[in-house]
Amino acid sequence: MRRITNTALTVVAAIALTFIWKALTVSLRPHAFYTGLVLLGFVLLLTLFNARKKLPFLPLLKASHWLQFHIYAGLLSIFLYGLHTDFRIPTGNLEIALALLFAVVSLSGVVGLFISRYLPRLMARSGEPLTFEQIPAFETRLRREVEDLIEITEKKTGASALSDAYINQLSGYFQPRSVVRFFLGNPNRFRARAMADLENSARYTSEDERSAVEELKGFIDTKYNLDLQKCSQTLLRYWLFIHIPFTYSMLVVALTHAWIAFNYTASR
Amino acid sequence: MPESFQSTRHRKSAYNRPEQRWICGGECKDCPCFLGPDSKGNCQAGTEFDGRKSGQCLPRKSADRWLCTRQDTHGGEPCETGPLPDGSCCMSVPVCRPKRSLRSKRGIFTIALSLATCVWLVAILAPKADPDTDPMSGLNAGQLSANHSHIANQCYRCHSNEELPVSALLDIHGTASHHRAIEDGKLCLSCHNTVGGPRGEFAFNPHTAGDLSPDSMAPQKSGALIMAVASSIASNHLTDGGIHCATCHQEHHGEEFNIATLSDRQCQVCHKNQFESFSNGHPEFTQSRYPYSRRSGIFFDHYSHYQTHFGEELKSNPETVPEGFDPASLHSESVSCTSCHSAGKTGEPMSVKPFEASCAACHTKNTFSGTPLTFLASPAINLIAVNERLAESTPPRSIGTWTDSANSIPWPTLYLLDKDARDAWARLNSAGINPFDAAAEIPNDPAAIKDIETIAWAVKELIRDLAQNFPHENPSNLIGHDELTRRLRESGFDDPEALVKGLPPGAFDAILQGFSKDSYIKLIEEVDAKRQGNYPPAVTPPTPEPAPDETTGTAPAGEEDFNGGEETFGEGESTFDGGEESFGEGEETFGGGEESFGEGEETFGGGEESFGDEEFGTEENKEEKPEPKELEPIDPINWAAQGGWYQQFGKLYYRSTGHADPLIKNWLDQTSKKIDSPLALAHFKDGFDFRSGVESSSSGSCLKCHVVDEIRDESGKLTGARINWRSVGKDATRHTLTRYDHATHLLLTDCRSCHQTITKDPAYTNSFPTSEHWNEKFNWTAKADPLKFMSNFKAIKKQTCSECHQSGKAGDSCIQCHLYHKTFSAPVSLPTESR
Repeated sequence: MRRITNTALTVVAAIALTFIWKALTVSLRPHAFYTGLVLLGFVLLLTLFNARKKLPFLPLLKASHWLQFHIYAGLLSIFLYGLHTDFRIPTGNLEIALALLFAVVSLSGVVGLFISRYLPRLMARSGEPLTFEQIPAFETRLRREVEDLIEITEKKTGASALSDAYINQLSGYFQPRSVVRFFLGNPNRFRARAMADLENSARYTSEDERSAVEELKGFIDTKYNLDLQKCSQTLLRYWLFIHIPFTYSMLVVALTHAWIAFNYTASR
Repeated sequence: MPESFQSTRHRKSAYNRPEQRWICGGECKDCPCFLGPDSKGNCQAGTEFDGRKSGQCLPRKSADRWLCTRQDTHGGEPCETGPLPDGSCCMSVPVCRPKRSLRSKRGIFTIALSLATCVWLVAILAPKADPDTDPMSGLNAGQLSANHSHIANQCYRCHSNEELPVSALLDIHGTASHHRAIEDGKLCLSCHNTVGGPRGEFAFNPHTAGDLSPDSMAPQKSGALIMAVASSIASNHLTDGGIHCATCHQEHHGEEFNIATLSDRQCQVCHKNQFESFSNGHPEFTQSRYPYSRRSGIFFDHYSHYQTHFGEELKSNPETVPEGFDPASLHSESVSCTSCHSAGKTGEPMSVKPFEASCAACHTKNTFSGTPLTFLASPAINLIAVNERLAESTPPRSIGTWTDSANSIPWPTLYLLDKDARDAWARLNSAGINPFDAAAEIPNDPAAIKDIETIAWAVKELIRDLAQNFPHENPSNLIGHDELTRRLRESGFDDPEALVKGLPPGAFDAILQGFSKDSYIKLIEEVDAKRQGNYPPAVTPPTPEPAPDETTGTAPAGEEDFNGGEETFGEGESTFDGGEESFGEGEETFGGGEESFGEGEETFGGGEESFGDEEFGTEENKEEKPEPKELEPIDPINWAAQGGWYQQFGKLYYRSTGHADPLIKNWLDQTSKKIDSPLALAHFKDGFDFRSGVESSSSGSCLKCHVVDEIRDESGKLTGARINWRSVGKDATRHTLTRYDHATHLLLTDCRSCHQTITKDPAYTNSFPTSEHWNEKFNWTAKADPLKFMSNFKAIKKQTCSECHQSGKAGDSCIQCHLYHKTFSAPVSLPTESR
């Protein structure tokens, strides 16, 4: 319901802005000047969301309200930018830079919105939720437990089938995985291949080693969850590395652009 | 495998500090330091505090044993080795190198990127060292449109130095920026200097015109909501000089951007009458005669040419077909509009092809044959009546003897008289008195008599001075051309040399052809005496049959008389009787060898001279000279058949050398500027217009086709006239906001789909003034108004255009046909709309 309401409000605001923009255009008023002022105000308000997070003690509405405003006002700003530029690609140095920065900020915002909606659900379905800062320790711990299991099993059965399989085929799977490789590759395929390798090795194991094989399958699933948690949370953190720094850079350029427009626009 | 990797119990869960600037560098080893780094990024492991190192627990002594007190989150209780015997903790936290948290890294990246952006901005905004480059050019606010690309990097060409206070930022009405917009607009006008009038005084008015009332900026606030709102906004801003160049022309949008584009709604927002589209709501063409609201520059009856001369009628009478025309092709289909017209540039009217390509086939003869222009002649005068009146004056005066060679004074000769004489001429004309008529009735009005006397003496002085070959005999010490151009310059001509161009030396001897020797000598004596204040004695009017001895003159009748002594006046001087002579068409020549200055066959055409070989004749010569037998006298008319100067019968003539003869055109142009009264205009027309009775004249037939328009100042006073040398000009008043591309339209249709000939209607010819309309007695001013015009084409209706010009077909944008800026370029035709 909230989404419907907010979307409806955004659409109404977009229509109103379009109407005003059209009226200004038809009346030969410098609409770019006015839409630019409104757009600058929007950007400043959106930027304040970051400040709001740093000031949790102030009674400035709930952060969730700010977030909702940030999302829908951000989407509206993209549309407003189109009105501001008459949906043309700028040609000036400053304007091109501003357009690129706006594009980066907007696109990163949209991507951030998507991954902040999609990845948490994916992580919740995947398995145990983990604290991002502790995941490297968990990876080390998991690898040590796997190696301990294999070592104990080998000592107990005197067979080296499992240890050979681990050394030759499974050890790579239990190594830390990069975010890019995880998402660009098929995460499930890594797990399936590790399972297949383990199954192949299991045909040569004794009855005593079978229980260890089953345990190893559990470790493979756990490693998959670890990778998913790690890579998802990395994305959830690192998209802000684009969105926030470029926002401030865009603000600098936007303020300069506004100053120049104020000083050089002939007609208002 | 553990069921859960991460315990959420507070005693089992480690405390993470991701929001802090520094985090432990040992996390990846599965042994995250529970101490964490300090705020400055220093590892706290190993630092001593209260006698023990950080990370060590404080063992508790139970009986004689030391027990470990390590918390579960710090490694569990107890540690395997336990406290040392002295009660100190056996564990030590390995020192690590703390690393920055993600948040801290992000903050640094943010600051670095912002700083880099600032540096880049400073770099592009910093004034350039190159003095030829604009300080702000590094900014490059966007590519200029192609037409302005040559002034890229020269911001000052368009942006003035006007600064705005910061408070102007909140000035939503733009009042504060109005002045700067004006200043910037003036910079535009420094190049676009045809916008808004010669001095740009109307540049910021609606349509850059000065004659649109503010009412036209009061749009109806009705119709579409967007138009109602936009009109409200516009009416508050775009009035009273509020339309600046930048209001419509927005730059810095790239080379391909058309800065002159306006939408239909933008056009309509200022207009009272707002409508949906051209086909739906656009008013019918307001002028009932559209687009023929103004008289054409060339008098050309399309009906008679198209339907008669080019038509079946002509085809059926081959003998009347002009030379060079194929009778079989002379019908309305073969002689098309494009035979004479060619499509002009975009937005301009169809142009008429040059004379040689359109009219010459039939009308070449009219341009150099026929009656020549009489340049110089001694006009006839009712000498008896004039001298009678002067004899009655006190003291009695006289104009002395008189020899005439023309029935009236040629108008170029009039401009050779002094100002007093021209003024006298104007007064007499306004009184309806024409003294230069041998049979004219001379009124008994002392003022009129005085004016006639003034003119008469001026003519005599002119003849005396022009024909003097010796400087010492010429009071102005000028001879020939110099005296002529001096007089013309005195009359106000800017370029008198152009008016006598090609006149050969000695041409003024032509004057002498109208005099006998004695009469000429008498004239010189009389003029010289008059210049010294001695008028010739009053003369007695001659009796009908005067006895030779009754005259006081020395010459008996017939002795020096061109007419064989049949007519003599007063003192016996030979004169032409203006009422009886008829030197028409070169048929008459003076008797060869008589005492006259040559035989009247002298010509100057082509720069060659063929003067008669006689000197001043004497009676002896007359008797002794044999009749010419071998050499026939050259007919000067034939000699000058192809144009040029020649003289005959005491007159100096100029015959046109063809169409657009430069000398005649110069005379017409320079004379037309001097017209400042209806009478002057009438006189001008009399001299040149075939409709004034000079039928078949060539030198005077320019105005047969080229229409003369009057020029009036704001008060309505006649200030001159202008000859329409071109057929159709870009009318500065009527169609300056409309354009039409004939060439494009002719690709799709023919002329007559829009321009439909109507049946013969005298209204067309009646739209042009005839000689009678150039008379003060008639309402000539109405005829002179080029806007009172009726074309012989039907008016074009909106429907003709809207059949194709609809959205989705040929388009119906306002700016397809309309211009915003009123054109102030020098009009070919007259600005008469203001009247």
